Formats: sequence, C-alpha cells, structure tokens
Amino acid sequence: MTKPWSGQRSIAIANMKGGVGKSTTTMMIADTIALHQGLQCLVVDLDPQANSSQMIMSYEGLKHAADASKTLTKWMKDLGQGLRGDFFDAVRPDVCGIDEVRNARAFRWGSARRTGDIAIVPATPELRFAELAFDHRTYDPSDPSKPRRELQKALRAGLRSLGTTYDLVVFDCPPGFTTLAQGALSIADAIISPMLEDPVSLWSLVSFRDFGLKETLGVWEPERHKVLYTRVRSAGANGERAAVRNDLRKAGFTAIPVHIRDVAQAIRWTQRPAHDSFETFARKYGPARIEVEHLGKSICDFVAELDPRNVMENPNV
Amino acid sequence: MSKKERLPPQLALGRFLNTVREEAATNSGFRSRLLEALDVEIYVDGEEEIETLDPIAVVTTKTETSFRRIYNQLNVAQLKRILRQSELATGPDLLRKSKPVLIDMLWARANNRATERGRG
Repeated sequence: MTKPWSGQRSIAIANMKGGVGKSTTTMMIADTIALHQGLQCLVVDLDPQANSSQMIMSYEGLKHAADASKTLTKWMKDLGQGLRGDFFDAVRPDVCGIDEVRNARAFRWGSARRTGDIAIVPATPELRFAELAFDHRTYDPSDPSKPRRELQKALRAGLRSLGTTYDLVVFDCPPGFTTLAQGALSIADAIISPMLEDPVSLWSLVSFRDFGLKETLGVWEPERHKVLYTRVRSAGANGERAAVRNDLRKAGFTAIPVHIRDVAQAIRWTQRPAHDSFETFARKYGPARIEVEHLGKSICDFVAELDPRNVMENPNV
Repeated sequence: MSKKERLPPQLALGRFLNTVREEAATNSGFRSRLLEALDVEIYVDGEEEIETLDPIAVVTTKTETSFRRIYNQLNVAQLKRILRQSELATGPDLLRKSKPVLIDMLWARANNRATERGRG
C-alpha cells in the first residue's frame, strides 16, 4: 500500500454544535484509515468529555492511561504551570480495536508490508480545568489572543516532536470554541465538520465558520473545509432535508461525497468492552461499513490534494 | 381521530403485565432493573436462572468467591452467550477460550463496566 502523501498531515473534526457525531466520526476515520489505507493515525482528543478516548481505548484503557499520567490532561497541566509539556510521552501507541489491524500488527515487525494502526493522546474530564489554568496563566488583557497563540505553538511543537511516525493526525475538537480547539483549528491542514441534516445544525455551522474560523482565527479557506452529514435517516422530512443541503451549498460549503446513516448499530461503536477486546470491521460497523470505508478514502483524497500547512513539510511555517 | 379498542380494566392491566413479563423474560437488562427495584435479596438456583442474571448486577452485589461459584456452574457455551449478550465481549474475544479464562474475563469486565457506570 503506498502512502498518499509524504510526511505528516492533520485534520480537525470540529463543529461548535454538540451531538453531531464528532467523536464517532473521529473513531470511524481512524479505524478505516488504519485498516483500509494502511496509514498510521494519531487521534488527539481535545474534548474533556473524553468520548473518542473511551471509544478507542475502552474505559479500562483510559483509566490505565490516566493512572499513568499519559494523557493530554497531563500535558496541559504542565503547560498551565509554565512547564514544557512532553507531548510525545502522552501518546498511547497501537490502540486500534479492529481485529484485522490487530492481526496485521502481529506481523508488522520485520515485514516490508505497510500496515496501519491507531495511536491516541487521550483526554480526561480534568482537561477542561487544566485548560482553564493555562488560560488564566497566559491571559493578557492587552493581547487577548495570547493563550491561543501559545497553545498553537505548543501543539505545533508537540506534533513536530513525533517526527514522521504518524501519517495523519486527527484532532477531535470539543463543542464550543475552547482555546485547545482554536489552537488545533489554526494548525490543521483541513477541517471536517460533521453535521445533522437540520436547519439548526446549518445555522450553527455558519456561525462557527463566520465568527470562529473567519473572524476570530482568520484561517477559513473553502478548499480546506468540508462537511460530513451524519446520522442520516433513510426516509422522512425529505423536503426539509433537501432544503438544508441546498442551503449549505448556497452558504459556500462543500459536503464530502459520502454520508453516515443513522443505524442502531451505533450504540456498539461507542463501547469497547476492554482494552484487550477486538471486533472485526464488518461486525463493528454493520450496515454502515461501506460508508465508513468510503469516508476514509474520501478523507485521504481530500487531504492528499491540499498543500501542507505546516509542521513536517512546509519550511515557511 | 383514531378509534381505540375499549377494554375492561382487568383485561387492560393483564395485557400490560403480560408485556412486562415477556420483556423481562427476554431482556436481561430490563429484568435486572426490575429485580433491583424490588430491593430484596435474590438467590439463584440452576443453570437456567443463572443465565438470566445480569453479570454487572451480580458483580455489585456478590463477593468474588460467590460470583465465581455462581458462574462456575455454567459450561463454556453458556458463559460465552452471557458475555456476548451483556456486551462484555465480542466474537474474536471468545475464540479458543477455556472456562476458567472466560470466568476471569466475565469477572474483570463486569467489574469494569460496573465502575464505569458508577456502581463499583
């Protein structure tokens, strides 16, 4: 399997609205990128709800990481105390729960064949308080964007410290517009915004772009931002849903050419029974497995076409 | 306006209770919640009754020795079925696992799930 780009690329899964499937999308992308695209994927969980950390590592795995202080929370606490956080130390490697990836992992060493896997920098609920401490320490009334710039610098240095170990870094942003999310959005090569097919979601997305990405961060470029429709129903309210899609296009957004349907199976995606529990890709995603696979391919094509914004490839940053 | 069926109270209640009974017979989570709501000590006797218990509820109310004694009465297929139905294990997790390993898995994972739900 050949790598679609050289060096490290990053995407941010972000939307100010909660409950649109950001963490689930993060996990899906990581799973399919590792399995079908053979890429090494690093998930950075910026959300204190720690949903993607739990989904990927299991509750038990996350507890172990927290007990060993190998989390983004620890990194953030260090920064909040004016210390230099060790990002590399917070990475938990080889955590993919897909059975096929586990089997390939066993033969990875000593083999010329490229195989993918997932690593994660997990979050815990205390992340929010660590972030607040950082904001308080760095806030300067004469320079209100200082906390964001400091964090952006720290995140960028953190990714640099990983070298080219990871092909794709996926930032799972929390709802709202926290300093950590702003830092990630400022350095990511691309932004994916999961959204539901309803007018409130569209309204929220437009605000996110206009006030957040354009006005506050000044990073919005239409070719770097795509929308992913999630929890799409097979029928019902067809007229309203078509109107939302039409309004989204008119507002200047582009949607990824695949959507994730609403399936009962989703309840299983969110709960890995234990850190040593594995499931086949087909069983895990059930009826949505083809869509998830296509999502991974679409993300790869999208990211491969973009000029890298920073970190490992662009010497101007 | 929809035309609703008219029933005497006895029959209407009977229908409701039958639905609860049927659900309790097939849904172990629902059954456990009903038993918990009764707030009485439940004892189990025989393989069939053990299979109907929710291991997460058992792990929070019994000692490790009692837990192991209860599940030791079951065979490998029954243990695997409990692990799958309570979503404590997947198909690949259960491949080529012996009875002692399955009981260890059930104890460890049920404990973790109970802690996760704040019931540990």
